[in-house]
Amino acid sequence: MPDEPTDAVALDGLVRRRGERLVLRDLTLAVPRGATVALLGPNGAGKSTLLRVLAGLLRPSRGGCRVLGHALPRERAAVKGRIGVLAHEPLLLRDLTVRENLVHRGRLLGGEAATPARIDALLEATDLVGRAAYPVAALSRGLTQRAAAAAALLGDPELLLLDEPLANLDPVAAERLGALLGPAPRSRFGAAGPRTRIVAGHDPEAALAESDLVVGLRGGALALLARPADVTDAEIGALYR
Amino acid sequence: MSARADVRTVLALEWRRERRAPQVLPTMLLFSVGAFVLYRFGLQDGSIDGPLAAGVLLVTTLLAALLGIGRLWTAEQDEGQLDAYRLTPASPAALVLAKALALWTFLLALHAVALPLFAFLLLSSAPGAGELAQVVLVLVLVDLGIAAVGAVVGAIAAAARSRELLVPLLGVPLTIPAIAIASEAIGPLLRADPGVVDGRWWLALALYDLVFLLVGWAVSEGIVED
Amino acid sequence: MSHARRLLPLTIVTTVLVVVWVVVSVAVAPTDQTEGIRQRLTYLHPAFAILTLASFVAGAVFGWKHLSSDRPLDDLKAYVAVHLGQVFCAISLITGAIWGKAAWGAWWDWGEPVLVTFLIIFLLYATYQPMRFAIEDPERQARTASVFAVAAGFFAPVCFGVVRMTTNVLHPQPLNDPGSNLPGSAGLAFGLSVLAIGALLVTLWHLELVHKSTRIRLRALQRRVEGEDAVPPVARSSSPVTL
Repeated sequence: MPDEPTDAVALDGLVRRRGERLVLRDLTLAVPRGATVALLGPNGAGKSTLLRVLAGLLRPSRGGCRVLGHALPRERAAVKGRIGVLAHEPLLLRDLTVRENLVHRGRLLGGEAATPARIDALLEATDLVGRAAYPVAALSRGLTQRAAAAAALLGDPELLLLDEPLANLDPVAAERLGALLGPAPRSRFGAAGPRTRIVAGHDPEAALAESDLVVGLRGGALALLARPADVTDAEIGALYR
Repeated sequence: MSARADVRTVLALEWRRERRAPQVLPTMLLFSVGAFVLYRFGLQDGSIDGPLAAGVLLVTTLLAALLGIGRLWTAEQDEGQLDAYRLTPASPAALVLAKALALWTFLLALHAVALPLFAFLLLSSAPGAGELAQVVLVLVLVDLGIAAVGAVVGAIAAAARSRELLVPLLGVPLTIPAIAIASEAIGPLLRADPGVVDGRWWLALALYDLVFLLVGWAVSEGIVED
Repeated sequence: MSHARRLLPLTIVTTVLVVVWVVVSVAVAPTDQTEGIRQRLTYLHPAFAILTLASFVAGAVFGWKHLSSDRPLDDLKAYVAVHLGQVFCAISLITGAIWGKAAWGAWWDWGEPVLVTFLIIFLLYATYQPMRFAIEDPERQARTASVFAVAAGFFAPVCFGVVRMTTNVLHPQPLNDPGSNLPGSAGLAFGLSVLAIGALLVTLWHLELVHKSTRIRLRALQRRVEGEDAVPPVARSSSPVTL
């Protein structure tokens, strides 16, 4: 790309409706490449919707929405395969094994994602080597989440959208997966620059600790936008009040 | 990656899922056999031939296919596979086409077993080799038409809460023409003194298949993208 | 909005056309020598049938536009077109049956391709509202309805072709027949019937479109005045809820 934009995500008055209801109201913000964003807000604030819009799974109703330099929804095709999503739904086929799921997803993603080496590396990293032949239906929720994380990372995404990624995990697994999903330098498989991450969650302390930018949503509107160092407890409290 | 490879990938997945957790094929087969036995009693132990036999075979096929159509997009809806697919660069048309091909191959597999059973249970006289080949060819074509319609209908129904109710409501009217043509084609072949198939029925069936494959391709974006 | 502004002139044109059509087909066109009074159904039934199809095709076109533009207004246009098509289809079936009774002495004839086709198409389109109603998410509903409208729009001509092929009984084709062996005034009456009922269709389409969009706008205004959360959203609806 000749003029690689510096912002991974640039929203300008983004509005998303669901029927008559406004789910996202007039969001304007920019996320630089390589940054980690902590997305906070009470239930129903629009966090998951925002992540789905950024993933190209929901179209914006109004306003500008550029992801990885491409305007959504028009240039959606250009960002496909470059975004990893880990949300509440694991997006895995329950009747197939973990490896079969990864192989299938890898084939659709194409390129490096389909190579057995990549799949083995991810199984190793998520500590699922022993469970690779298990059908997903037989996995516990924690293991399913790890398998879903492996699938999300398969395409070595430039933008990683995480919706409460460590929910349902025991502390050890959480630490391990946290490191894998963390702001580590992009692996040997890609060289497109650092990975941008947007992490939605309910744990302000953990979120503040590892993020470069804090975004708070309340009732679908932007209620907080600050650097973690500048965020006060009162502001966090107001978000959830 | 090319669209053809995507189609192959999804089609292989459909068959793998069916092998791993057989749902569609056994359901369609058991339903068909049950229906044949039911006809045996409903027609008061009658052996049938000609247009009546064609109608029984084709309507049973369609009703069995409706069961398969209802299951066709469930993984996309219930297991988030539509989202997963949309996160990859694979094209919407490839998914719809793969679904149609999956249903088509399921129906062909169904007929491989159901057709001999039909002949055994209901047909008054076994058709000759030439007639049989033509019947099979008509079934191949009508199955493709049902599959092309079914891929679209299944996707529409999957979006709805009352999926099982919508499939027959949408599927039956849309497939009436295919069943009508196929019945005209198969009818003479199943008579005791077999006739010849009018050439225009082949053409009409092929056109029907083509039109609905094109429709599926045209609306694939609307089905897959939200 | 422009659709509302077109309502008055459209209504005037439609009224004039309908009056002229009724006068010509009742008083001016001569009573047919052989067929008698029932021949005057030529000035009523075929026009409804033609415009039913026109309406469904319009629904398919708007559905297609909606799929590519994703504008809720296009979905509403498609909805209204399909809805009016359903009404016209029912009228066609009823007038067709009356004609059948008058001409062939039977309310229904399975050998008559046009009748059977209309029944199949009617059955298909009758599922349009139940299908929409079954889909809760409004955007999903709109897109799925457009997929349906396009698929069904393709289906209608296919169905006509196939049914005509499979029914070998050769009744006079009502669509080709009118005006062929009739005096000029009969041809005029037939042409006028298509024009008048076509104008009626266009006017009704505008009327329903304006009615529905006004209701949607009113709710949007209410939300703006009373606050976004003061107006509860419609629980479920088979017609579009946003613009």
